[in-house]
Amino acid sequence: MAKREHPFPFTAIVGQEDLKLGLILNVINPKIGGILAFGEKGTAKSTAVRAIAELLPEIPVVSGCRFRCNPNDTSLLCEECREKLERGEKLETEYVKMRVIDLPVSATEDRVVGSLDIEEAIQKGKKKFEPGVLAEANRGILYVDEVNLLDDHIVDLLLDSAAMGVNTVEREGISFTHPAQFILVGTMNPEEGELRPQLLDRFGLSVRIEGIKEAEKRVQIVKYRNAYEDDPKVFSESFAEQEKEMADRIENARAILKDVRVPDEILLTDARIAIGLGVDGHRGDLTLMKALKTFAAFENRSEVSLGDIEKVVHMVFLHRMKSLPFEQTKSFDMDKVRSIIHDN
Amino acid sequence: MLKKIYYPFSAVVGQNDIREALILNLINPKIGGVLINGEKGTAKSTLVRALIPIIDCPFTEVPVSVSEDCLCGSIDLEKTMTEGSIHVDEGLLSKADGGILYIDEINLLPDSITDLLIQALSSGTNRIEREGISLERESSFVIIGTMNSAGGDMRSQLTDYFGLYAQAQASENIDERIEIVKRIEAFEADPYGFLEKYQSEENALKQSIEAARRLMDQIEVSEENLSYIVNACIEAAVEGHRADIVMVQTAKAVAAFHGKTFIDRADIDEAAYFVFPHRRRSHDSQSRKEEQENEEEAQNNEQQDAGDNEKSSSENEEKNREPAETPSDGSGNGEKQKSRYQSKSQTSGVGESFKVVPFSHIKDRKSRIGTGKRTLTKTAGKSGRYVYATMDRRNNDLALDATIRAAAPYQRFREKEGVAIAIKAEDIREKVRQKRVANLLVFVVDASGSMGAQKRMAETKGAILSLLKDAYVKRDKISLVTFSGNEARVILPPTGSVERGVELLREIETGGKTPLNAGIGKGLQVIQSEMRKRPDVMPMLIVITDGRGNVSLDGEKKPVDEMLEMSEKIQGIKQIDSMVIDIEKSGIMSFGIAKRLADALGGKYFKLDELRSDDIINIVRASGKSEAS
Repeated sequence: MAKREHPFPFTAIVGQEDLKLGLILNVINPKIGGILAFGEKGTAKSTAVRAIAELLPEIPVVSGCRFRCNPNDTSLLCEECREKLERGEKLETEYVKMRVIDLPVSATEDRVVGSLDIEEAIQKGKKKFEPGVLAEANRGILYVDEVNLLDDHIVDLLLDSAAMGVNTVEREGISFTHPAQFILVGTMNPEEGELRPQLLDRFGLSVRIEGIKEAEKRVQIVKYRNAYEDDPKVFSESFAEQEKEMADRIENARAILKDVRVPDEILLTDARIAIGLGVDGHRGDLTLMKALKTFAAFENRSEVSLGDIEKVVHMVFLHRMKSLPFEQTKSFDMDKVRSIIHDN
Repeated sequence: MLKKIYYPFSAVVGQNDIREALILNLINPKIGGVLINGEKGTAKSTLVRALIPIIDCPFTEVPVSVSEDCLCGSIDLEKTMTEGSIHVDEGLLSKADGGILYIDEINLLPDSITDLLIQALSSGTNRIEREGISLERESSFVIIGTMNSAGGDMRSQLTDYFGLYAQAQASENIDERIEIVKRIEAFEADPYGFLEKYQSEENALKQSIEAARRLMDQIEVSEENLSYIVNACIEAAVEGHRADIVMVQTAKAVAAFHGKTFIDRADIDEAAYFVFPHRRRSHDSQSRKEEQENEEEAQNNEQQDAGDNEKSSSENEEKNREPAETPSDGSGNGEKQKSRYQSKSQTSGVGESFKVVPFSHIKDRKSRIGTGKRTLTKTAGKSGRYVYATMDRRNNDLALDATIRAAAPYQRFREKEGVAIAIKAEDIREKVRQKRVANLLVFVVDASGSMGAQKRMAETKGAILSLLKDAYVKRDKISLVTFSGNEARVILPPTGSVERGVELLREIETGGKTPLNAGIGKGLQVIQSEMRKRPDVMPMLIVITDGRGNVSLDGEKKPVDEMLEMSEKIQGIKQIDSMVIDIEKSGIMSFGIAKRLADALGGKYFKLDELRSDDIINIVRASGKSEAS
């Protein structure tokens, strides 16, 4: 019980810098398009996801709305809230924590997108929409462990909704649209099976998670973990200050993000990297630009600098690299990128 | 409803082919749509969806996951229940009538849906014969599909219904790429402001389309135009007459697009650029190229004693080939393909291909119906054809017709609380659905050093190619695993793209030791991960080897013992079927290990040369019958 009340603090996670940064960038700017973590089990992936949701300040939602609509953004309301507003009623606001929704690998399509409420249909002769996981995840984080084991078309649905911010259901005689804005966090172990390249491409960032090799850090991890197991409350309180600091930094970045400027030189480098790495399509350059702006905002700067590229470029391109006929792990060549950057 | 904002059509950078193909269809809907193919992330669907604010007809998007009911229509639950008489909820096909029907990732549509689509496209109507409803609705529409052929091939029957074809390509131009990033950033930062900025361009576009439409009526197709068109079609060697008709309509639209009231040759050539590419099936062209190669060889041999027949047929081949490369001239794609092809033919040859003996999944005989090409099976999901209703509650997949029928006799005695039909829990019936499942064929190919000798690899490749072609016809998924040296590698994860398989097949190199067991293990791994994703998949492990494995997995056991042990385990997995193709030359030095492997797997066994259908077809049929009885 105490653990649920006091999850492991985000700032107490040792190592996994890429994963942490990737999550931070996504919560600052959800348009980056989610994150995919390659790696084995037991590497604190789900802990990190839960921890970042816990760290963030509460969000305003419409009281009683099953989609947790944002009362301050009327362009993305569900039908019910919209009708309320049109009737001239006020949308009551309450504050709640950002949610993390788990999607089990065995999820069926109707559980994901929602389906017809049979009881309602039979007893009242009414077509009522029973929301699925995408509705629950609205304005939260959707965590999919082993995303590569999901049926391809369900992954498709997830990525579609994540990209469009809405879920459109056309099945069983119901047509329904509702907001579904969420940060998609997927994990996969490539040895268990591939994900189609088209689907990979639609994840914004990816990180490779490896067990930590440095003895010092491992000692630190064990120490923290023990302390946390002993008394979650005391442990998380001891990190309260760092947590607050991180939360403020994220809030600040969100506020200044729209004003971050990108010098032409960076735009040029961005395009040259995408061409130089030979990735398909334009999603790579677009995502790199978003990631760079978000990173600059996180660093409390109003302009992207050349040095930022090395901090995020591997996360943008790792999963977009074409693998040799079939290599299970994709490889990313940082030296090549460096030579592109400096070969002006 | 949520208001969606679409990225403006005129703000998309580049992709001129796609734009023109789309606009031509807006000018003249009789063209019959456009198929857009290309790599991911190249604004394909953005461009199509950008049409929504421009057009004044319905725009219906069909999600790949669409159910048959939604596509065709089904009983309208709400009205039926409250009014007590059957009402139909119109399907997407009817809603699209007179407008545009758009399908993203159209190559991934399940066969049952493709069938319905083809039916509507060929008849212009949507016929509903299900759940006790029988009616016909108008359903003529412009079909737009986007796809990335890397994800799988599309059925050629459907391809042919697309009037035009356009290729999407990422820009290689730095300035263009920068412009793309800038615009999308601007759009996301302030969508409304961005729209406003492009409003005048959007309006101009609309007006020019309208102006072109008005010109359409005045355009007459002259005799000279017609003969030029027909000749172009004959020269391009496209099948059937649809191309001719589409050419006429497209040429008219092109002329109108250029503001003219007559058609000239340049218009027709421009139309040909969009009309012909997809009417040469990529798969056929692949095999056609092979034939050409053989043909050329034959020609060389023939040169000494020039046979007349041979000559004239190779001349025909020449003719066929020429236009095959014209349409992609502009994109430079043709060049690429050609050079890639040439480099391939240098690596290692692919032996002669042939029609293979019929083989199919045998372990699951119970669920197979008839002798259909693909395997029909009951499904637990909500997709597939509704075949009958059941009282079992499993899926919440309501069969309304059967439910109402079950409730009907009791209506006189039941309380109706505001509805016309009172239904109780015991009346509820659910749908039992059936769909075709493609088999998954996992080829585990010996690429060890011994294969290089005696042209065995070429022959083996020929056999695999034959099996791949067979897989294409049956819409199976395929995967390729090779083993050599110390390891096995999955060179092609499960995919519907047989073309890709053929491509990779050519590139297989031979050399090193024979880690057969690693190969079998890898094949099993591929199958198991696919089974986890799709529990209803019907996997078949096809091992192609001479059986002389000389590397064991753990390095301790004897390779043969380990192989037999593994094989028995695989036999234990009911769902997996297997087949061994023995490439060992029979003779004094043959060991017959491949046969033992087949026995241990409980699978079929063929010698390489037994695979030809003409040799063995009858034997297999006979044995299949005796098995089934």
